[in-house]
Amino acid sequence: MDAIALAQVLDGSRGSDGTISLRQLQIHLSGRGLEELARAVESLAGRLTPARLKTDMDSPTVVPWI
Amino acid sequence: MLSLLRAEVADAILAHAALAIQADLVRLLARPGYALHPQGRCRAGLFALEVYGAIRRRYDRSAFVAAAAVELQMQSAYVFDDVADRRPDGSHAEDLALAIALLTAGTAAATDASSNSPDPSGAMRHFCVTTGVACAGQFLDAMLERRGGATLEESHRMTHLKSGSLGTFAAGFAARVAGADADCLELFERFGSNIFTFAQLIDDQRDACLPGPLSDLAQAKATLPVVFYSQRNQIDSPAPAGGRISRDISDAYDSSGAPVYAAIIALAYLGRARADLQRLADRGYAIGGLGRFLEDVESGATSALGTFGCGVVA
Repeated sequence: MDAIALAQVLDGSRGSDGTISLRQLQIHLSGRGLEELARAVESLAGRLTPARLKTDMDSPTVVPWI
Repeated sequence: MLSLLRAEVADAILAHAALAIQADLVRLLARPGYALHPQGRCRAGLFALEVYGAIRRRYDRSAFVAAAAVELQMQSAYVFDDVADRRPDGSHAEDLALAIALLTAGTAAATDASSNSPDPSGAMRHFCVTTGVACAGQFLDAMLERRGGATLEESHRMTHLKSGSLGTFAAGFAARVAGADADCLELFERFGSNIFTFAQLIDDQRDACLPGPLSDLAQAKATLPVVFYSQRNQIDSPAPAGGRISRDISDAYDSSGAPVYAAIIALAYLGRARADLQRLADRGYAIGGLGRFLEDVESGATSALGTFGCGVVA
């Protein structure tokens, strides 16, 4: 998995206001042959919920997943 | 199954640890987050059980002993991680000794579990070697944090070594004890590696902006989201006022795209795990328990995978 390429493509998928376009990101990743990451972006787009709540910072859970 | 696994873990301590520290080990494992705490999740052990169940289609005594052995190794790593994350004031020196005691008790339990397997020495070799690979990941983690300036490639490699190898360890050992076909061992191990790496990346994303000293960002850890952020922002002195990461830092982290970046890589690993699971099903393994395990891990990642700051993504 090319973690560096993803970072480069992600930086290049920002609009003038800095917003990351997941659609553009997916297209750019596919264009570079990074299909696995493009599929991951598609999966991410389907999971988006409203912006993070401020209370998230007030109720940390530090127990590791495992 | 969880209560049975906990009982097996406790039995293994009584059977394999020195009498002088058995009570200390039990007290340690009863701390929040550890195996014998009422909320302890024992996920590595449960994962090992499901791997065994997928192959044998039952959970017998060998399954629980193998799972307890896996869980004891994980608890040892967890103690080490906990000590490593704390300031070096010597107050946790005893825990390091207990971590080694857990490691050796786990190895003794693994010997018991593998004694009836088709290839006992192969199972034990896997148990020891993959534990060592995870240690290499722990080393890289500590080294990169101390050195600073980790690259994304280094961070990715460290995450995969540290956490993916634990999945390889748990799956490979359980599969060998259960007597999986040799040509399927790698598939079980790959599934373990991918699901554990996915879970680690979710943890890393969640922990980036925890309050003050607990935050990966404040500690300048070498996790993927922190490295991504640090390459785009100055984090020489992110020490939070009043022991908390400030709202400004949190917002800068969100808008840097670091959470999105980590989520995409995590989902790529999730996709790999799903594909591995399908291959196991195609080969006739009873993957029901592993599928539920995967769903459980994924459901715990809902927040990390779907919530980003306002205006970060469109």
